Amino acid sequence: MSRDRDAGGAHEGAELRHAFAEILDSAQEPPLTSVVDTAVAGGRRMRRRRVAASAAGVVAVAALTVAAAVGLPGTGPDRDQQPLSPSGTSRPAATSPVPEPSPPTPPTDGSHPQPLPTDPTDPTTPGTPPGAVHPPSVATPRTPPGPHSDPGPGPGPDPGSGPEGVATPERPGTRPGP
Amino acid sequence: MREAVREREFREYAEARQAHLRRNAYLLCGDWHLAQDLTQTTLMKLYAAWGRVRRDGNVDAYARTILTRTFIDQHRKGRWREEAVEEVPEAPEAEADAPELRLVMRSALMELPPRYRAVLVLRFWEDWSVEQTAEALRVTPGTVKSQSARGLKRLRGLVEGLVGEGSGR
Repeated sequence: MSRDRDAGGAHEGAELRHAFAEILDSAQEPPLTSVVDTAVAGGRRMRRRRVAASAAGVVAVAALTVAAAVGLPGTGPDRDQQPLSPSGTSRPAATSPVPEPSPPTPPTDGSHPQPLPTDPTDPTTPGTPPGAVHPPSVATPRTPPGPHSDPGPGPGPDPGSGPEGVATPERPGTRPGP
Repeated sequence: MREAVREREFREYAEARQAHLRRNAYLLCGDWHLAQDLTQTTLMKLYAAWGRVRRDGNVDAYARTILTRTFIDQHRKGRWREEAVEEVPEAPEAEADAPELRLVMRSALMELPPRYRAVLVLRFWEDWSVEQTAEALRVTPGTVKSQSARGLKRLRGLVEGLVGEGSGR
């Protein structure tokens, strides 16, 4: 133990210890009552307070968690509703030159999903080979492709992407206002 | 049932050790009544953590650590204030040379900053190692060494000054 006393030195430490003993011996300790009962009562109170504080902390954390879960978007009672489009994009579907996203349709003729046509008569439309013949009406019912039928682009069978006359499933938010 | 056992164990320990704790507290604060308060606060905190302290073992070291930390905390918060009393307690009668020196020593010790005092009491009265003292005071061992050296130097200077004052009278 005295090996550790490199700061003060063993001799000085022993002297100080002796001085401490002298101080305590000379100090006349008054008759003091036991503090055990008071300490036990105070300790009990301290423990109760600690338990109450930790319980309050747990309740607060739980409340915050619930509040955060309820406040998150899409987790409330309206969670089944589709999200609304921004107001600037709401227009009648029939006059929209921009194709709207539609649910993917599995290809029936083995071809890749076709690019959505903007103008079927425009030969410069991307994805349309020059010279390709398009039917005059986009509402022509599609016949199942034969074995040698042209799988190329054209007015596709995609019911959701067809221009005028093609039944387009209504989507909330894109309907013109009353 | 468990609570009763716990309380009985604590009471046994506290009854046996409170006088020792009070003496340690007196070395720190230099007043028996303040020492009594310090002991009570220490035992209160000890009871609140009794289950864990018993499990960890070395209850004495834990109690002394609480005592020292409480003393330093209370000093920092300024709770140790001198209070005016109506009747001045009787000063101890001057005895021979040795008691005079003890009084000088005690006065010098009380003039040290609380942290230096705590380091000296733990290191040289409790006989704790540098590491134990550092852990109890939540400082590095280097700080304990430097505070110990400075405390001793200052104490020596104070004692010499007080003795010189006394002999110069």
